[in-house]
Amino acid sequence: MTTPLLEIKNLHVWFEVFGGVLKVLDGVSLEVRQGEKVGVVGETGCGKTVTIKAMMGVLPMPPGRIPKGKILFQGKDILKMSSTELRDMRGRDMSMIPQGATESLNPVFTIGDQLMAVIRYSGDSRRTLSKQEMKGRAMDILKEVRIPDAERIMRSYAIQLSGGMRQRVLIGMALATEATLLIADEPSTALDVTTQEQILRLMREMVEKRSVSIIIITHNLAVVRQLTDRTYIMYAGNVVEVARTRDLFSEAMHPYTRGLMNSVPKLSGKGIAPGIKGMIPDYFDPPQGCRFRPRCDQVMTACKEKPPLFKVGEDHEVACFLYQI
Amino acid sequence: MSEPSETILVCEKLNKYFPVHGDLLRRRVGDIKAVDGVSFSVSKGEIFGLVGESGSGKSTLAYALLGIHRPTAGKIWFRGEEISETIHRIPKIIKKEMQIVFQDPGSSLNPRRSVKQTLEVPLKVHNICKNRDRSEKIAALLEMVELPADYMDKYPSELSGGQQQRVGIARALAVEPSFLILDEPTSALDVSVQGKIISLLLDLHQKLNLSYLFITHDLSLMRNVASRLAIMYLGRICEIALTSEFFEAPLHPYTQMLLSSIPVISDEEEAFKPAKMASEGEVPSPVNVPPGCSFHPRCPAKTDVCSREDPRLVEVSKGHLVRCHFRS
Repeated sequence: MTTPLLEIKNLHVWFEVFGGVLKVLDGVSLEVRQGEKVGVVGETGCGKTVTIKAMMGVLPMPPGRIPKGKILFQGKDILKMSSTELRDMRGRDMSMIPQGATESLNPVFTIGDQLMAVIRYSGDSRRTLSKQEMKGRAMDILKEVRIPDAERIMRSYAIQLSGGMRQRVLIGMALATEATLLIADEPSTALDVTTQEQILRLMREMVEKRSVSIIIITHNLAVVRQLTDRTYIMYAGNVVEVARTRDLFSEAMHPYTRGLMNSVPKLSGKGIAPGIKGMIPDYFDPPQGCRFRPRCDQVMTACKEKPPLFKVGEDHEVACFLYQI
Repeated sequence: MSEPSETILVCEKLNKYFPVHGDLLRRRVGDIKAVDGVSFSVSKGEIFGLVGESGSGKSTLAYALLGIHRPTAGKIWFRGEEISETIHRIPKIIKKEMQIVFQDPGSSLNPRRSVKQTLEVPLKVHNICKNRDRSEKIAALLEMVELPADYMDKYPSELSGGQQQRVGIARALAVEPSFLILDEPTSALDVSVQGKIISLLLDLHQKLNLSYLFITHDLSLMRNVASRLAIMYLGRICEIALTSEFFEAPLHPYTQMLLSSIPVISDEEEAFKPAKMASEGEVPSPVNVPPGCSFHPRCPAKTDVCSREDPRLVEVSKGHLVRCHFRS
């Protein structure tokens, strides 16, 4: 098999703050293969945003510190890159679809200006494009993300567009860069269900058409199910389970994954599951061994050690001693 | 309205318009019809679900019921008394009966007040108990929402999202109301916490014999909680039905679109959705609501009549009301 596009190996991220050290990421390993759609799911405070920030090299350091781990993108270690190299990589090779479409667009420039700025500063060929060419490219992109009346939208400001339209513009911007890896942080949470469905459909089509890779970070299991090939479940700074999305939803193994799936209200109306007891640990002093131990129903003596990822099937790994062979 | 002993809340042709001022002279150029001719009733002991996308007017409706907004037109009756007034004019005794749990507990609790100070306010205002019994009462309230009594001295920042929402619920229950408005009580919480808050609310509903108006955008949640549902679109109700009937035989095209767009987590669930109906377009701005049926620009089954005439809400079978030219 070819080398993966992105590989995170045993990443630890600590934050040194007043009052102690927050040990947030505790050995996260993650990979994105060429042309793959990967989901990262976890609840508030599980470290998913820290992971992508580290990946893009935008983690504030200090207070952040990476005591251990490697992040390889196209074979190069991001942690060893200079800030110029990082800046060149972001935007050209890696591009982000941000969460809040309202805050992410500049309110005082037109959509056209912002799109053309992206086109000017990125793109693989560094030759200068004429204004006409840039405009043409921008229009093409807007048409591609199915924005009707692209001419008018080019001259509009962000507030004149609806939430779904803004999200389309942002997807367009991310695609304009010709990046090989797209990162979408909660791409649809701010949208209504009917709009969300359209946006997810659009993202899926775009990614498949251009055969780029995408990482989708979300807390919504259903979104991942609709969009991705492989899914990582994160809990308290650890990857607790990784599997092909199809397998994960048919047989979730980690007690946390199962608890999470049971907590989602079902359309079949079988009642509401009580959720998972307890809450996410304190990062100043996380539980020794398995960080899910205090909330787990199937806790054993072995859980005092940190469980490695056990292989339970093809592309399916679980960090739980229940599956130790 | 026919059985006043049974119904606790009646809303009749309720309108809430917000004026839009244009140009330099601040002349009134139009209205945002946030709530437009909404009629429904809630029976005693019922959990009535109100579902809609953002901008559909569900929160405005809740605020109008509470008297935070004065309705532009229409009437509200609560236990037979008319309360279509601003909050200052509603008798205290009625205000006590109707309480609200807000959406985001992080911003609806005062960060400078401890849990005790927050819960004291309603007790003082409504003279619920004697001064010296107050601590005991607060401890009892905390126990009701399954928090230990020593949380009394904590501040909201020391609590997790779920715990904050429990305090929010305790605050609403402090005055022993009979009717609660729940405005998206779990949408700011993680799913693993949501379940616990919902089961707490359901327990309290049983134990204290409450009636709920449950506002949400999450239809899967409503399937498990509500006994009756209303769907709002651009300030109007487009369908009301019993929950089971609603999910088995949705009639309004918007309802069908909404149901088929719900993201679910298993194939088994997928089978509960109505036939796939690709969602088209977006909710238009409530400033310029399309003429005729407000849903017609997005409707796959539209005809000429839809853009001309606004359909009325018609009862198609017992308790199932639909606002569509073709279903009635």
